Amino acid sequence: MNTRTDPAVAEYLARTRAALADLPAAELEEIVEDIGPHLSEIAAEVDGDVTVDALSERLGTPEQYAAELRAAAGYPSAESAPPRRSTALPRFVLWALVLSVLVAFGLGLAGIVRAIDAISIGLLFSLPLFAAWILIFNGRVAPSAVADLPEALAGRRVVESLPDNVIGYLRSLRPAWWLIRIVVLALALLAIFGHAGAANLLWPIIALVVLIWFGPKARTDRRWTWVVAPANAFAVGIALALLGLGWANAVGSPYRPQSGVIIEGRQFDNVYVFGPDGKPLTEVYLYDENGIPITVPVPGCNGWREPTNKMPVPRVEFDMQGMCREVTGVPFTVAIPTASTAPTTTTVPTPTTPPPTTTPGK
Amino acid sequence: MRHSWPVEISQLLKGVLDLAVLAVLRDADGYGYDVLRRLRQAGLEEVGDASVYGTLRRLYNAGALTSYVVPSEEGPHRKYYGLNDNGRERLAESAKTWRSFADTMDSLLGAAA
Repeated sequence: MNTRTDPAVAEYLARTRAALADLPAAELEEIVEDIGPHLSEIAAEVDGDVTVDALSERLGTPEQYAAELRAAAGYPSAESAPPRRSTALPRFVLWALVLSVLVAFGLGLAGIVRAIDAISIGLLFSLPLFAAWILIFNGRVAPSAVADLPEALAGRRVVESLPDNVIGYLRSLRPAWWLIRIVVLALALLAIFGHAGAANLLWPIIALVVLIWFGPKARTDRRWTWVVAPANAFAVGIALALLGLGWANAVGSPYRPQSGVIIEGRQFDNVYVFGPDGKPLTEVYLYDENGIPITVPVPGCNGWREPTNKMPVPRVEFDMQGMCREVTGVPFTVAIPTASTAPTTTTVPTPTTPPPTTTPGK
Repeated sequence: MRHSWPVEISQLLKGVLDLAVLAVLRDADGYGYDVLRRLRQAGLEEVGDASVYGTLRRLYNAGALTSYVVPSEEGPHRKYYGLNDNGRERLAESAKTWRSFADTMDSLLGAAA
């Protein structure tokens, strides 16, 4: 006896389903629960290759099988059934969900690491999802109509064809995931708070609220799938990104080490010092008030080197061919104010153009 | 006058399949293929696979059957059907109707022969 669904059985079943597609979805599910095992048993009895033709020889074509079942069950005939509603809207709603899940996953994965402009990208790709929400929550599109789309059925068949222990394992993760995703999103909030603009906090906050507030609803009301699934995908993306970060730090890849210079709460990778004549000092050594060297990590083409207090440290640049170069020298010039010829110790000379930034100009 | 000759057993079966399915479920619950096999073993060779499944659904929707899924370690999970009180009542009534109908037919055919 085969435990996996035979492709021929799956195809026969799909065609039978299609021929009965006008029936209520719940009744159709019941029928499939009955005849799925039946077809598997017939397939097991077939000599040689199991094909749709071989099954049809025993049972008639899927369409004949469906017609016989329909007659015996006393369902209305397909012709007298109300015409099937257009599949265009359910299809749109389904693919809007798929797209938004993928985008949310991608935002989770990339948005945190790269601190890209997640707001505008997210909003742009959310527009179809917003439209889907309107359609599904005002009842224009029933979740069952979406579930009955051929592509949705095909997707479900793929999931159902997974070995039972895989599905069981994923199910067993559910309670843990309930907690993990909240922790993950909270971690993401902290990470973003430390690095990127506050605007990027928007998505994790939305996802967090959605998952805590609406997550339980999706179990009983399938419409909430359209809200909860993208939020979950976002959390999965962030979880993978955080895992990747942790792994990268553990194996010592090019992520920056945890040291550096922090002045007024900002972290600096490099310090440039200029003399009163506006000329850069190419070799200065930094110490704090206790004589302890103030060090920054030294970037290099082969990864980070030991931190040093000798400033400025070289920069890493990539040329047009993508080749890495280590560059010394100052990426900008400054004009030292000449009004006060002898700056006092309390007056810090302010560079006028351009303001030095932590990122060397490209 | 139109004759379809010989009388197909499957034509006759259509009218009594409900009764036959109820009868094979009287002693023990069964899943679809099980019911099908019991019918065939009892001599109803002509019964169509899909007809049995359709009949099970009709009887279930009419409230004559209960159903429950039995997980199986190997092979697909099976949905069992069984008679409930309503089903047993229906079986008793249908059996009575059938017997009187069969008697009528017997005497009719006896007279014709």
